[in-house]
Amino acid sequence: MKRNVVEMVKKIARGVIFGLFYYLLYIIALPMLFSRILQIPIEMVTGVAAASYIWFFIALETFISLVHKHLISIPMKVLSKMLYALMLYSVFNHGILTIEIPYNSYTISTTINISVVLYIIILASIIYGFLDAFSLFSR
Amino acid sequence: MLLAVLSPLIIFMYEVGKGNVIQVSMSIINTTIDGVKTAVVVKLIYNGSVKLTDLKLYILNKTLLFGDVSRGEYVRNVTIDVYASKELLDMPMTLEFKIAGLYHLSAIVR
Repeated sequence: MKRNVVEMVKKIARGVIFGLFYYLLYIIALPMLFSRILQIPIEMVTGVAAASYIWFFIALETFISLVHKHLISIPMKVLSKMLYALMLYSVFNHGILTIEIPYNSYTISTTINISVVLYIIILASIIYGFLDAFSLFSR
Repeated sequence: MLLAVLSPLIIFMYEVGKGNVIQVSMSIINTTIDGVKTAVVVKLIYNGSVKLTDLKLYILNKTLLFGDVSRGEYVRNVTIDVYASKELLDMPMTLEFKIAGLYHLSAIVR
């Protein structure tokens, strides 16, 4: 009984840690990295939206951690990574970034479509989800 | 793979940050055609190292096609109404192209 409780707490802790890690990766680190590299300001998620994202990531990862080694964990692992990447897609305004640059007496409104990059990230996330799901099963 | 796809965009944005990557100049030729039209020479200078594809310039309801653009100078002629030539500099101008054929960019100058 005590062993089961310890095991359960370990799984929940693992879910919380992974949830926070994926939140930081997809919602904070990647948008910040792209914003810095492309020199285009990207509106970061803050306040209630940020809290909702954190709870969602933690809840999903905790659920995945609890159903670890059950068949359902395979689609859940793949779907969760795809969902995270789609959230990144949403944070990036579906790949359409707009910036206004004042130049002498003119204003230059620039719109750039970076959806190709986001499609690659979504694809890479799905592949990672598959690898993650099957590697856990093989242990 | 991601880096290979991203590199043209990174290089282009870096060069834009340095300034004067794309320059567009227009000069009105004072000879009128039939007294109602006048010719405008549009010169585009591109100093970047990333190839731009499908480059178009929209001005005064006209579309100027430049196609694929590499480093160099490109000239196009357009005929406009004489009365419109006075508003040429005040009218918004839109430049559209794809960076390395991958990233669509449109810039509206007002």
